[in-house]
Order: sequence, then structure tokens, then C-alpha cells
Amino acid sequence: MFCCLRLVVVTIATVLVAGCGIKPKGKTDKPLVNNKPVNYELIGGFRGYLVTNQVIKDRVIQEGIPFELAGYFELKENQEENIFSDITPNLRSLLGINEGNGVNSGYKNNQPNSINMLLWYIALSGLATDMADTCDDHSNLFNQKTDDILAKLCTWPEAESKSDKTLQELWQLLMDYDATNEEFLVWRAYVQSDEFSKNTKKEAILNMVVSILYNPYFLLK
Amino acid sequence: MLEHGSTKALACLFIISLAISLSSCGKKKRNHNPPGNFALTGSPETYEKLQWVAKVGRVLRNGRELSDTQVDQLSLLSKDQVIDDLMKDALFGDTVVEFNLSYLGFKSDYLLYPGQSLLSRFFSKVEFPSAISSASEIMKNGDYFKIFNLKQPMYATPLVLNAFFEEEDAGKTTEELLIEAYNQFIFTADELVKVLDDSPSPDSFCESFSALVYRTSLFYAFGIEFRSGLGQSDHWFGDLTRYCQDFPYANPLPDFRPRLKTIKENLEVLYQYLRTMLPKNYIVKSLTDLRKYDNKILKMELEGRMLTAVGFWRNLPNSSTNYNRKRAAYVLKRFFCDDLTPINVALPAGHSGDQHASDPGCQACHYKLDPMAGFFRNLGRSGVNYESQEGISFDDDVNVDRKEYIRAWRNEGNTARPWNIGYIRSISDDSLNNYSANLANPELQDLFDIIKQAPEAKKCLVKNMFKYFVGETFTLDAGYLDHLTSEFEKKAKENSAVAFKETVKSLLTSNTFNIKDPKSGECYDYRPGVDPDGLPPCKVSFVLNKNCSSCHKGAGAQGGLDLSSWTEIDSVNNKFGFPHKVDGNQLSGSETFKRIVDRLTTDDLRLRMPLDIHIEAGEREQLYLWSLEMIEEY
Repeated sequence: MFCCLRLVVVTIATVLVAGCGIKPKGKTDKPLVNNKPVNYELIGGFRGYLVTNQVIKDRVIQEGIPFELAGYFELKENQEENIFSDITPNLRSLLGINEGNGVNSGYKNNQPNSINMLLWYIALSGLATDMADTCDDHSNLFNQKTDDILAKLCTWPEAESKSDKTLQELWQLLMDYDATNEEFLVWRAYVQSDEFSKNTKKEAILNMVVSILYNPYFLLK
Repeated sequence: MLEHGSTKALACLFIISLAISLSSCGKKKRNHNPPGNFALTGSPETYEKLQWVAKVGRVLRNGRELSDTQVDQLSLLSKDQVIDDLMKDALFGDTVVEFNLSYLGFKSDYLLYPGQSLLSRFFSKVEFPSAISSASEIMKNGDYFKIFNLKQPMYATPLVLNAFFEEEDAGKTTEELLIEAYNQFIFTADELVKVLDDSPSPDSFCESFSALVYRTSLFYAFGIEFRSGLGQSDHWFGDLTRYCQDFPYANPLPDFRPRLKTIKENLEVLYQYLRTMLPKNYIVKSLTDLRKYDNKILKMELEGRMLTAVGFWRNLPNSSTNYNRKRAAYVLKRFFCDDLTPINVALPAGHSGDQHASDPGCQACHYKLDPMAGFFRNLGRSGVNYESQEGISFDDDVNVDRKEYIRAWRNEGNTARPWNIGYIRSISDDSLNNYSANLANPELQDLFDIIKQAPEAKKCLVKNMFKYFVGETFTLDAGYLDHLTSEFEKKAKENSAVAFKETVKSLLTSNTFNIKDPKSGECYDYRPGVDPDGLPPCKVSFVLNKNCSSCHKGAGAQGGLDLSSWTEIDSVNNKFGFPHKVDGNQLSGSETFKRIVDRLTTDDLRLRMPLDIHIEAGEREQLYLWSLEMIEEY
């Protein structure tokens, strides 16, 4: 599992790094705006667990069905002997959480780091796997719109599953209006590439979904 | 399992990929994509509007998304109309409650768990009636400034079960459990009367009385406790408990039958009230459905999550050592955005008082902290008012003589102002400070009045609104904040709820709200008419202009230091800074900022900047901290 995880992680990171290029470091090389050096430091942070969970519920989950991304932290195998069962519900607090007791309050754990990126991956790939699994076993988890799009993706590698129209529908379903047109074009080119076509049906759906949900425009606010 | 080294490497890759994708990817690619390559809904312009509508929808609907149809329909309206429309929705009330909690420093995800609406989640843990009442006022264009007054009527939550009930009761409804608790209590009280009728002896009475006390535990299921120890309140068992505790019953058994009759009557009132609060009789879908507590019930001195207002007080205890300073720090931080950063730049050491802390480092906070704490002086453990009592009990279980304790705020020998209690801006110019109108006996209500009037409090509120509705990590130009605050104040004179909504509207239509790839340290909105080109960095530009530029501006700037412009001072290393010429030579940025830090913090009033001008403590600290950053940068 972790081997596969590492492969996906490195792939995503490499694609992003290679696609965008790394800006050369150094104080003297900063571009100027209004005669002031521009700092390209990341600002913003995760939307947080609660908001992300709500967004996913609003976009893909059947209304009235209880859903928690944190549920994917549970190890499905060996459930009865899961030594993490007392810990896993609290892991979500590592994904951006508000805490307040009056004087000390704020939004915490909202900056990406190695642990929370792995946790996001586990949660989001869990959801993506459930989506891919609907090709074999229909699930009541997803809303009608999601089911309709998944039905088209399940025809992979047929043309309809990777058509501009289907990919736009999937992007719009998951990303809604959070990202720019340019992000969509890059993602679509990635999915329609020869390299991507080597994926099996389930791999293709999983990778399509994870690469949208792992996008900073989705995860960050 | 991943090895440590590879985990670290992956983490770096993740962060790099996220950072680059966010900050530069979109921008670079945007240049390479001609407009004809637009592949999403509509044209770039319409898509941008759709993006904005969806984002605004989420912000104003407390995180809930608009449906595709709603987004489409709303995108046909003007931006102002979209906002007006969404503000009519009950979900906007929830948004304001969440904002209020954030502003008050009590927004916590621990309040949130699946399956509960915001309102029930909120009530189940902390009680902040000001957050609720002011949000309700927003929905009816009333007085939003109730947010500044922590004393508000308590609101009641529907009766819900908690975990404190017996296993055999699992599966019973709330109503069934309530009826059972009532019946058992009445039955046991009647048994106790029988004991008094038949064979009144202290032993038999106290034995049966303990059974009655036990029956009160049935109400734990609803989160209601009769006062712990049962000895404090004569609404319930106070005198009965005291008698039975006085073993071996030195006094003859009084006739407690009239008291038992009263207790049963009180229970009947409570029971009938709780019936009205059963979920089937009390459905809360929005703020307007909320009910205030019945005063009769509040006077019963019950304790529990439904019936108390102690959430605030428990979070901010008064101890025998802090003397209400935690509550004072809370007020300064939350309502005045003064987080008491102890950097010893607020006042010169020579002006330190010696009542609580004569060390300048301590006094930099205590000069304003202690007088603020005085407003709370009569409130001890759990916010109980001890004003009429000889002693005061603290949250750390210490009891002291109240007269001795309140001497901490006595202004001995000053008959005009006998209390050192107020909102203190300056210890060198008393005219800048705010004191209670009732100098003889300042009360907590006076503090709320001061907050309501203070310009700092309005600015702090608007600053918090910016952080909540736009984003916490953006740099906010102080001139833009000043402009927003000034507009807010103007409108608030007519109606504070309308002023709140109009400010939210300004924020949601601002450049900052719409920016796609924001950069650290950049400002995207300024005071109208301001051209940021050539000005110092936006983080401090307005503060410098307000406090320093009258002397340090242009060619004739005092000391050769021009704090009104920002130019390249080192072309070799591409360094920018203030023009600062001494004997015709430009000083290095590092030297300039070291001198600025010295002049901001010196004890010598002849050298201390700004000279003879009052500068807000927060602004001095802002300049000081920024100057330190700049020394580091150079």
C-alpha cells in the first residue's frame, strides 16, 4: 500500500514541479511590484477538515447519507484489532482546525506538512477508491449527478470516458468553481495523455479524482 | 513503512509542489493560454462571475454550497444584489454567529460534530448569548452592537439527552425519561412527607431525604444539575441539607413539610418548562426560532449546560493570583485587538507606576491591564457577583477578604477618581483615557459602554471581519482598514446591523477577496485615491504616514530620513528602503532600521519618536516589529 502511495506521491509532486518549474532562490532575484520585492511565499492554508468534508458532501454525497472523510483513516483490514481506533477520529484535527478558549484562539494545523499531506492522501484516495468501485458494485453513497458521471468514467478506456465533455463534468463536479481554466486545461491534458491511458479502469478513476482533489485550489482556501 | 529520510523528502516535494502550483503555476500558464482556449463554462468573464458567486455563496451560507442552478441564477444579478439576496437567507444568521464566535475568540471545531446543526452544537458547549443576540439583530436590522455587551438574555436549547443515564434507560425517549424523573421525584418527596407525618425522627428523615437527593440525579440525563452539594440554594434543599449534614443532629427536627411543599411546586414549574423544551415542542431551524430563558427558571439556581451562563467565566477564571487579569487581557485582545505583546515599547520606563509591577517590561502591559481588570473586580468564581459580601471566592478555591482584595484598584487619596479602573491609552496624558461615567463605583456595564464608544473597538471589529470574510493570511493595509472603519462608523450611527452588512459587502467585492494567487506581504486594496507606487510597504505605509510623515517627508525631512517614500537604496544588491542621508551619504537599510528601533523604544522623551505625538500602542508595536523584520532582511 505504501509503495503505491509513494509512487503516486512522487508522481504528483514531480508533475507539478516539472510543469511549473522552480523559481531560482535568492533575495536579489525577487521581482518587484510597486518598487517592493515580491515574496512568493505561500499564503493561505487548508480549508480545514470540516469545510473540506462539507464541500465533498455538498458536491458528491447523497443527501442524508452520513459521511466523514476521517472514516478513511480506519484500516479496513483487521478492523477488530485496530489499535488506532481511539486515535483515528482525532487525526482530522491535524488537517486544519479552529480552537478557541477566549484569549488563545485561532486556526491551527492549516499549513501543509509531510504528515497532513499523507493524511489527506489517505482520505481522498479512499473516497476515490469508493468512486472507482462503483463500476463493479453500485453504492448508495453518491448523489445522482456523481453516479451519472461515474457511469461514463466506468466505460474506460472507451472514448466517452476521456472525452472533453466527460472530463469537464468530472472537473466541475469535484472542483466546482474553485480553480482557474488553466488548471483544468493542464489536468485534462494529463488525463488525455498517452501515459495516462496505460491505467486500468480503476486506476484511471482513482488517479483522475485524486489529482483533482489534491490540487491546491481544492485543498487550500 | 516509509523510511524517515524518504518521508522528509516527500514532504519537501509536496510542499514545493503545493507552493509552486499555488503561487506561480497559474500565473505563468495564464500567459501562455490565448482567450480562445477557454474550456470551462461560458466565457472567461462569465466564468469569473460564476466563480465569485460560488465563493460568496459559501462564505455567506456558513460553508454550505449553492446548487448549480442557484449559482447560474444569481450570476445574472449585480454583485450587490447577489450579496443582498444571500444575506436574507437564514444561513447568513449562522454565518454571523460563527463570525461572532471567532471574534469573541471561542470559535472551535470541537463544538462541531456530525449530525447536529450549528445552533445545537453551539449551545451544547459554551454559552455566548451576545454572539446569538447580535446575530439575531443582524437578521432584523437591529442593534448589532449587542456583541460588545456580554450581558445578554440567555437562550435555551431544546432538551437533549446526554450520556448520564442508566443503561436500562437506553432506548427510552427524552419525554419518557423526563416523565419518569418527575414522577420519581414527586413520589419520593411524598414519601418524605409521610415520614414527617408518621414518625418524625432525624435519622428516618435524613435517610429518606438522601433518597430524594438521589432522585435529582435523574435530571442529569438532560444536563441539569441541582446546585452541587445542594446546600447553596433554598429554592431546593439548602436548609434540609444543612440540617442533615449537622450529624449527630444537635437540633430537634424542624417541620420541613412546608419546605417540601415549596420544593414540589418548584419542581412542577421546572417540569412544565422542560416539557415545552422537548424537541417535538421546540424546533430550532434558525436564529429567529430561538427562545430566551424564562426568568423563573433562571432564578432557580440550577446548573448545567442548559441553564447557566458560565461558559465565559469558566474559560476565563478569576484566581487569587491573576485578580481578573485574564478577563482584562481577553477584553483588550478581543475588543481592542491589543494582544499585549510584551516588547516594552508602549511607554517609557520613567513613567511606570508601581502599584502592581514597577519593572518597565511588566508595566508595558500592566498599565492598561490592571485598570481594565478592575471592571470585573466584584465577580469571583464562575462570574458570581460578591459585591454585597464580605469575602470573595476565586476559581482556584481561595477565599479572601473582599475589602482587602479590591484595594488593588483603589486610587488612594484621589477623591475625584477613587478607582484606578478604566480603559487606559496613555499614562502621560490622562485626557486620552476612558473612565466610567460612574467614577464612585465603576461597573462592568460601564466597560461595555466604553467599548461601544471606543474607535479602537470599531476598528478591531472591522479588522476581524476582514480576517473572517476575506482571509486571515492577507496583509491588510492600515489605510484601507481605516477607510472601511470610517465608513462603518458613519453607517453605524444610523444602524449598526446595516453597517455590518455593508462592510461585509465591501469586503466581498474587494480586490483581495477576488485575488486568485495571493502573495505574502502584498496588499490588494488601499484607501481610495492612494497610489501605492513608491510608497513604503503596505504593512506600515499608513501608520508611517499618520504618525511620522509630518516631520519625515521629502527633501527637508528631519534627520535626513524620509519615511514617506520607498526607493532603491542599493542598486548592486537590489535593496529598497527609506531615503536616509546623513552628511549627504545614504545610510544602509540596516543602519536606518536600527536607528528607528532605538528611537521607538528609548526612555529619553527628547529622543523618543514620534515626538510629542500620541501614537496608538498597537501602531508603535507594529512599526517596532516590522523594523526588526527589516533589520533581519538586510
